Amino acid sequence: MAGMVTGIRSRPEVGVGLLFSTTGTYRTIGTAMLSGALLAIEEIAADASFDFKLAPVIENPGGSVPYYYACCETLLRRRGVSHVIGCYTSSSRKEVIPFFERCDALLWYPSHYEGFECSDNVIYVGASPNQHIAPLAGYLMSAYGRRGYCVGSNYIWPWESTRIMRQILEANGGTVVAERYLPLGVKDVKHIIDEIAELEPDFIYNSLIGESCYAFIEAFSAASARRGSGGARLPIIGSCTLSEPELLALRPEARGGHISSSVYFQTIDSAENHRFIRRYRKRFGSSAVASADAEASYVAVLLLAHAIRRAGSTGIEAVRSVAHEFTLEAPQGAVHVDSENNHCHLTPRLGRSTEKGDFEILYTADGPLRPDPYLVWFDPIRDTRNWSAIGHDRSYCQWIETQEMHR
Amino acid sequence: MNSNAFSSFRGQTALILHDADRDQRALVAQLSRLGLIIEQRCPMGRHEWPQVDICFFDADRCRNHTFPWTKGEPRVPLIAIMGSETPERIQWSLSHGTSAFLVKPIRSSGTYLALVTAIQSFAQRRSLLADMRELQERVRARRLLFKALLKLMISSNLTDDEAFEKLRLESMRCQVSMEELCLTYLRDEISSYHSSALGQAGTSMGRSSKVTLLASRRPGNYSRSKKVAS
Repeated sequence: MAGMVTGIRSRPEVGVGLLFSTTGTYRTIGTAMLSGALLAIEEIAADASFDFKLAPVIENPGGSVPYYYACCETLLRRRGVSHVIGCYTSSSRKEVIPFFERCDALLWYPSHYEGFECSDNVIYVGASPNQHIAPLAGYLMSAYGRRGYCVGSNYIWPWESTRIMRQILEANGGTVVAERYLPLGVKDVKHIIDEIAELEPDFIYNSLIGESCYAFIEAFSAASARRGSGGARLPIIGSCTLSEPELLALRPEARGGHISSSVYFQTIDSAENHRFIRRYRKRFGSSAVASADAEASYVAVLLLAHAIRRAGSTGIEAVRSVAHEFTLEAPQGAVHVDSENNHCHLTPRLGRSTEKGDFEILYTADGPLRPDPYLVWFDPIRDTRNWSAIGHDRSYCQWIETQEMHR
Repeated sequence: MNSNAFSSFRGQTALILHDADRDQRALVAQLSRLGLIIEQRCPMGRHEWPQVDICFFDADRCRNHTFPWTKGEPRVPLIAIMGSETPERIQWSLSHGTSAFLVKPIRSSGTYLALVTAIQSFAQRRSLLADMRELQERVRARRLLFKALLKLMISSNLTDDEAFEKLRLESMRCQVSMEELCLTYLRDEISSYHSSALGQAGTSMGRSSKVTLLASRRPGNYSRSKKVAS
């Protein structure tokens, strides 16, 4: 098979770059992603129906954006790989895409992101904005109200996802009462908590990542506790990033009651997911927790392996041209790559965090939703209504009907 | 914000004047992802232009394009697709009113930026041109205003401030511009209006005069006005 190195073993090996920050401010996520990818690589090796094995070539950029570029130079130029699973933050992805385009290599990006991008050298395995930001906005508006407070880390994902959140809110007659950004890694969040208490928004849209996010949730929980049962409650926190390993990094009393929008939760009740968790724990220890990021990396490796097998080649053009021809039964459900935009059809879900450190699933979409990275087909009123807590909130339903009449 | 803030290009038609090659395929793929409808022609005659909202043209073959409008005044935003950045091609594109450039080889990134830039700068340029034309008209009409002011000062024995205030109030009441009012006032055929409305202190224009004034608001007024005024 073209592009494969035959080793001592009978099955040839295909080098696959794994580019995850297992140190640095978002190391918890990076470690989960690396674990998901390694698990899938080992499964492919154990599966005789594949006539090749994947050989991991690991690079750790340590959360430093410029270092991502250097790691890619090592992977693509010196180590000669042409497929890389990796990147978490949008700034790191944007940093390396021009290099992938120049080398004509393929980046399998296993994270949800803000959309408004579509490179032919990237397969986007995580959620597009219509698959996670829109469901979260719909739910928060209907269940809690239309005055949102937005806090995020100071880089592309929070800026862009907040812009989408704001546009959805405004289209539905709501407002963003304030929009605040903290540098990556900053843990001083007291002024944010004070401002939230003063402005009394209906909900908080949280796009902080890594240690800033944990510091914020801890401080938020402490402020809630100080208010006691008699005091006015602080608003709900909604995120598109909060995952199980991160909940476990928090004190138990800070973990519960936060809303997260994701295509995967560890608590999905399906045979495929039970099997995935069993293997994950067997490989990484009985206390290991799976998460959306680990699952997406796992799915990215499986998509790559299936595409190589189908194409009969590791060549970029061959792999890319067959990547959309099959559907993968993933732990989250059916996943397939869209032939027009290289993003994946995924099933949106909403969960509420528990003190145990996982998510109680509140809503699951009927099936995989077509990715719409540029929100071309998205309607901020119609497409968030599907996610509203209809039945729980009559006034919202009536308000929506009035809006429809005026359109 | 309206509900379409997310889909500014959806349903718009883009005309691509480019040979069917790798760049053209990359552009078609990206425009389709952005929800545009695509018309492809190359080469195309002046009289075959379809109804489109935006036009991409191959600047490397710039001499082959004939646009159906006055040079430099495009009716839709133009985006030049440029392979060789030669001064001649850049100048040709700019002189035809190009609003944005896309550099070959066309990649998936860059098209969205070019579209947003072209549409915004085209709209800005259009609005600036319209403002400029209006201001040019007003400069031309100053002479009319001066002439009407003098005529009113002499006939009604008013100071320049009084005459100006009278014209201003009358233009507000009739909801016409000062320039239009002056033109009407100066035209011979409505001299009766002069005596009945502006000529007599304390009275204002009657209903029939207002009709006359409004009826005079049609294209060509100023070409006639020049004749009257000169």
